[in-house]
Amino acid sequence: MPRYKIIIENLNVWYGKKHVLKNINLKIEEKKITCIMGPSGCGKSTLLRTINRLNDLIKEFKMSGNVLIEGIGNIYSDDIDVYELRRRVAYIYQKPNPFPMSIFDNVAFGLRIHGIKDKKFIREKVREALEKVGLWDEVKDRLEVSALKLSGGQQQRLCIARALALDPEVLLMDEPTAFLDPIATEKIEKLIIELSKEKTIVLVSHEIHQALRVSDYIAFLYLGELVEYTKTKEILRDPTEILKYFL
Amino acid sequence: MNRVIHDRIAKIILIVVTVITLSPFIAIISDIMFKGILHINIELITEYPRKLGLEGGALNAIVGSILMIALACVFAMPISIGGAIYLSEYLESEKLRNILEFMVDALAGVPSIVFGAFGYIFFAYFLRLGACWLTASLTLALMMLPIMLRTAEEALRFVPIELKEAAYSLGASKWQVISNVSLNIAAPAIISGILLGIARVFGETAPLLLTTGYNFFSPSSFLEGIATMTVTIFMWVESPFPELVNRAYALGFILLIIVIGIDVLANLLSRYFARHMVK
Repeated sequence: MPRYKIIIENLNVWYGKKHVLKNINLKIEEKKITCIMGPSGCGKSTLLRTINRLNDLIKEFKMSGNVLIEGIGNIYSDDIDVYELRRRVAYIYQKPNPFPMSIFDNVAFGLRIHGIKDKKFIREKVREALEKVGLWDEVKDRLEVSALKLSGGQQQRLCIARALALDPEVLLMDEPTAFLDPIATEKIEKLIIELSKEKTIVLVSHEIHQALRVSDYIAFLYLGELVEYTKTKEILRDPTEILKYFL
Repeated sequence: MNRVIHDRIAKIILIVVTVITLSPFIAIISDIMFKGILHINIELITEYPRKLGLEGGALNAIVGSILMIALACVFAMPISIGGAIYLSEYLESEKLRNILEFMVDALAGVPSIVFGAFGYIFFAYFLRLGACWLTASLTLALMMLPIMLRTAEEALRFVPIELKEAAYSLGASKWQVISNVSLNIAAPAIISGILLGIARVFGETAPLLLTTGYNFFSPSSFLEGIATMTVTIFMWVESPFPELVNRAYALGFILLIIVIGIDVLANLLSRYFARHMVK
């Protein structure tokens, strides 16, 4: 029996009158990489943002159904601390979005806003996070330099380090390589596989080859509905009609 | 062929228009500069006036202007920045925001003498403060508010949503996003807005005529009258003594340098921050 980290039950999402996600049921296995695929505008990002309540920031957002996370509970119940939820369920954006601060301050940002003041602890955490994403050796001599001076790929790894510094259990990644060149993409993909040893990863991608390279499961969304959900290995053995279109 | 001629005509017209625009500016500056330099002396900025201003300097006016603006900033800065945060971050109704913005903009367009009359009636008369430092500063604070508030609001609204979201996604609360991300990023523009507000009122005379009172020394309490550079110039220019008119030029020259200095500082600061806030 696989252990599930995230269970989504009968999820419906509306932006105003637009019905964006329709009755989604999805169980996401712990410490695996689940890739959500589908054409533009099918609701991939919306689904991802529903898992750590980033959609709450959107005025028109309405939802029904349940999102359960192991160890946290129903994340839409009233007694959930949404700021703590977002610490434990991190989100990586499509476009690298480091703060206009130093490399060090970027990674330390999350720790500081969660009230950690111990400078030694922060330094250790920053180093650890940067090591995990393979950025430490590249930046250790210039931690005080602006994060904006880094290349796109480095910036994206920095953003991942920024999230990792908070020890999240789940990483939600919204097409994290969409703006990167092939070499940077390869580094991020290797990193994702490495991270999945410790963390549950939900990856949005519109590139089937990326999904095949990194994921354990593939979920396919079409017009807001979940139309396919299988193990990645099985797709190659026996591709369904919809996925054949992408292969 | 025709188009080449059109080009030339357009260019000539534009040069003429530019010269017309600039010439009053140059005329005023050079008039004040030449006459001002002739009559400027160190006494003017180091000594308090004697014999009703016929002798001595205008230190009371220079110090007074600075004190008055400083106190006005103490009132205007927190209120304008707080209002800007509310309008840009908290107010959800677009309609209400438009109405409030319209009112703030209308406030910016109110003639300065009306501010003076309001300050006189409300602060000096109704609140019984009299014409004094505090009344003048409160009146000026009202005049500075719209500029400071609107520039701060624009600056906050220009903060990229991606960066705010990045902070939210790390578990920041709304106030943490505002204080750690938005205000940081908007700081250069907010500071230049503050300086613009200062520059806007530094040269004002009309609202001060009714609200400052006068003082041949620096005020020793908020409720004492205060001398300012512009009011002093106004009094000197009106006086029958040619000597005082000349000194008005000299003081005007100093005022000009201070106002230009503030503008330059506003520019430099915002550039410096744009480069260095990104540490």
